[in-house]
Amino acid sequence: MPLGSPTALVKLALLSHALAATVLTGAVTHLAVVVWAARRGRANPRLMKLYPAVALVAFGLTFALGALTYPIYRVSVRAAFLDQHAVWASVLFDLKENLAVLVAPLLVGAFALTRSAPRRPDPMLALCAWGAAAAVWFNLLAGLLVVSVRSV
Amino acid sequence: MNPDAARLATALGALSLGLTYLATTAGKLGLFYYLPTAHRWTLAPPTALIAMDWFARALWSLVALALGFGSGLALARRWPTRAATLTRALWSLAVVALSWSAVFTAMWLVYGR
Repeated sequence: MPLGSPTALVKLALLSHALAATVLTGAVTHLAVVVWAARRGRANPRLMKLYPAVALVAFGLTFALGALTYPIYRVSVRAAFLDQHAVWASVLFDLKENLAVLVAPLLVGAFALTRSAPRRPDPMLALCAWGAAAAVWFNLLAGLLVVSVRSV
Repeated sequence: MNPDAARLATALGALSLGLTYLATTAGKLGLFYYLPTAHRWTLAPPTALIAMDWFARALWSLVALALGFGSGLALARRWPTRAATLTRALWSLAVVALSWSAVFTAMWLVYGR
């Protein structure tokens, strides 16, 4: 696999996708904890503004890199292997891809609702933060499971 | 950003995305397809080739999110008092639409594929 070959570029895109997803998972997990602490009276307005911004940027990168490698996965992984030998992984991957779209409004909402740095977050922010954290963790674990079976 | 405007924009953006996602997934509305083996886009995929509809679904859903979010900000600026009362109802509908979308997708992928 020479550097600069199509295969090396696809692997680089996949690794970058994984790195961005790791940053996203860290940001939404910290946001979920910060929101939980704020609801118990221990607010940190600086962190409450920071984590949604980091999460939104990481989400954009993860989403774009995932979309870039998706066609290659669809042909060389899903059609060539998973649909015959591991249908559960194929279904899990599709679930992850579709769930990624549904996470977008929660992250945008968390970003918008924290611009005024509330000292006590309302239930809407809590649902955005906790919902996004749950979905992103599901996607991270689903992605790892699928890659453990076969990857691009 | 005004907190009330942010709340309405979030609710309307989430509701728009949820409904658009359902329309494109369950109703197959507005779908176009990418053919990864032929490297081209089409509105009517040939049955012999692999066709991907996820790009269309994701694009329309994200466009709906942007339009809904922008409309929410504009509504809150124009009618601030009405906007505050609308937010709770729209957010409840948005949560239903997003949850329904997630459950529908799981059922569709597990039992319908």
